[in-house]
Amino acid sequence: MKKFLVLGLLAGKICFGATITVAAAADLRFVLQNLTALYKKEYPHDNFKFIYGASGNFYNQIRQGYPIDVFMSADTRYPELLYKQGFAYKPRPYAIGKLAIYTTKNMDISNPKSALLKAQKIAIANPRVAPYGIAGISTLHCYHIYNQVANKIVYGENIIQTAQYVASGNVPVGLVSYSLLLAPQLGLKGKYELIPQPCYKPIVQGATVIKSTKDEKASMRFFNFLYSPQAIAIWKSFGYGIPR
Amino acid sequence: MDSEPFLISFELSTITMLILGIVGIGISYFLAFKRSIIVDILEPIIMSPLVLPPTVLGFYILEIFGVSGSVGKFLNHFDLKLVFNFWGLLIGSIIYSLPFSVSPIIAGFRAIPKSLIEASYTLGKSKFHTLLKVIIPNAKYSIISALVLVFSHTIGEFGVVLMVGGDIPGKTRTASIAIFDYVQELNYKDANISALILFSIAMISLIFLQILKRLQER
Amino acid sequence: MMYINIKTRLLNLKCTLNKSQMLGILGPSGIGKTTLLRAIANLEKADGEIIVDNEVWLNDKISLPVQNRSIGFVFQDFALFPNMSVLENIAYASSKEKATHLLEAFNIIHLKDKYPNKLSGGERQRVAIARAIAREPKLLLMDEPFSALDRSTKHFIQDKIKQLSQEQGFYTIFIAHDIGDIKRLSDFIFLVEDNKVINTDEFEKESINI
Repeated sequence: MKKFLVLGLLAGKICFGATITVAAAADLRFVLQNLTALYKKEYPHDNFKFIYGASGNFYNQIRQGYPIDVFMSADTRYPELLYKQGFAYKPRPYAIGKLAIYTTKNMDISNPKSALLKAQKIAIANPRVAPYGIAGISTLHCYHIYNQVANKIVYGENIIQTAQYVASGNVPVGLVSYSLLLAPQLGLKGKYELIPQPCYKPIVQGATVIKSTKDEKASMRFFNFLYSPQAIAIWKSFGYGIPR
Repeated sequence: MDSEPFLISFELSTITMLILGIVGIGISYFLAFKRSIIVDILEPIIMSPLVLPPTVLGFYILEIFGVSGSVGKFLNHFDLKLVFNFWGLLIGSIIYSLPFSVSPIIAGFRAIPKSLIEASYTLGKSKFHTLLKVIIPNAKYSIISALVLVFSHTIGEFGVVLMVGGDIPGKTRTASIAIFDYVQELNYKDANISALILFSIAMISLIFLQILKRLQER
Repeated sequence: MMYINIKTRLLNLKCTLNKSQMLGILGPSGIGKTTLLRAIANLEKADGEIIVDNEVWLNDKISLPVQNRSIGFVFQDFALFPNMSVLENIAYASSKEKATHLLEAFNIIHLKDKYPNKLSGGERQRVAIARAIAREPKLLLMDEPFSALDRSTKHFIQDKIKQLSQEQGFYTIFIAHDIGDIKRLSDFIFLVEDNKVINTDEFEKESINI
């Protein structure tokens, strides 16, 4: 069966273009569906495999030889490090993420600070590997409530798992990426409010092509598409800011 | 629902089962009939995956076989990679399921009366001939149990496979990881179907083992 | 001719047998008779000397592994292979023809397709003896080989063993607790308690003296 798969893949490459494997920060789970749909209108022969997870985990795995083509991080630090260490080509920021407070319970979140104080549990992504987790923690510090709520924090492995904790009703409130909530799958389940900007550093998200890519041309094609006008429109529609 | 994760899981489990069948018999033969300090050291090492967290194994496998690991660096010269692909899954599964193969087979071997083996020797038969014609046939229930256990345990494996395989769709995304992904996507329908299939496989193999036990007692 | 001079932890045996001759070992249980028999087969470590038909099995330098000693061993627990039929057990180290022939000689041909777990103790014992003889050993070693047989079967089997040993010329050493069995079969007796080997005829005299 393996042989057939390999043959199939080879045939696919020759006749129909490439399969691009993308390791993407979890906040991109829904926006990338729209983005690739648009991409495939232009390049119908390219196919995609997406792996979603925490950017820090991907960083470690890529250093161990993770066989992917494009890495879309939730920050610029990890792609920059990979670039400096020789694992990746020069990265470029593609979007600026925003943090939102999210609940599916019947609670008032118009004032995030008091909502966070009142909530029994708070879902936040693991700050050691997820940039949105760092933003979440700095928000708590910014409100000067970190020490009061620290023992109520439930850490998600990545930002979509964090959002899922809230969506399933298991955690009343969470600090998650705004873009996920603009997707109907999560947004329609509850309500959300943006966290005012000065409370956390803008989440500038960078992408890069991994040097071990099997098809550099196709990877670059997709990488460049992320900065095209059509793509920018999609980023904006999912609430992202656009880096200059 | 995507059937690919199941195909990968079945392929992985079948190959792991076949390899561990042979390796398990070899190791068990070495351990079952010897009384020495080597056995006392080796047995706990082989059984350690029973109690070790999968993350510990996953970590060591990455450390050793990853591109910057000791063995990994060496294999780089031959353009061989053993992590984040099927081989990585296989190595992880073989190590992780080893005790599920060795433990029942050792017990089966030790349950064979010593005189049967000696009788074969007195009849002029070599150790290997005796293993094939006397020891293995008389431990067949234990060996089948070991194979079933290895198969179902490999199907159900999550931590090692995730760390060493890296959840790559079509390559290392096994059924158990796919469920994890479905839940994250809030795709409860596919999560449900997949979970039900894995649950059924687990139950069928456990019932099969129960039947086997009854057969053996007869 | 067979020469044995062997030392185990508890017992020493020194004897010489001619072709087809038999030695019976007589003594109380727990004294190490089984260990002695196993040592001759090299299932246990032992010092000494064993020479069978000019072939050295054991001396200071040589110790042939059990597989290379032409022996037939009848175990006390019979040690029949449960995964094989009676015929397969006997043919394990010989041939189907030879096995069939022995089954007929021992009057148990009707058992040939049965499995050991379906046999009585006496039947198992006969199969075990047949298996040991089937491979045409130079030395037949038997540990309590008649314990499960009734009197008439026992005599029948003993006569068969005697006849086969005459025909094939193998030596026999066996352990028995029944003096009658030993007197009936053996040319020599190893009296374990006295640590001496005597002629069976002498035993008659000795017992009279006692």
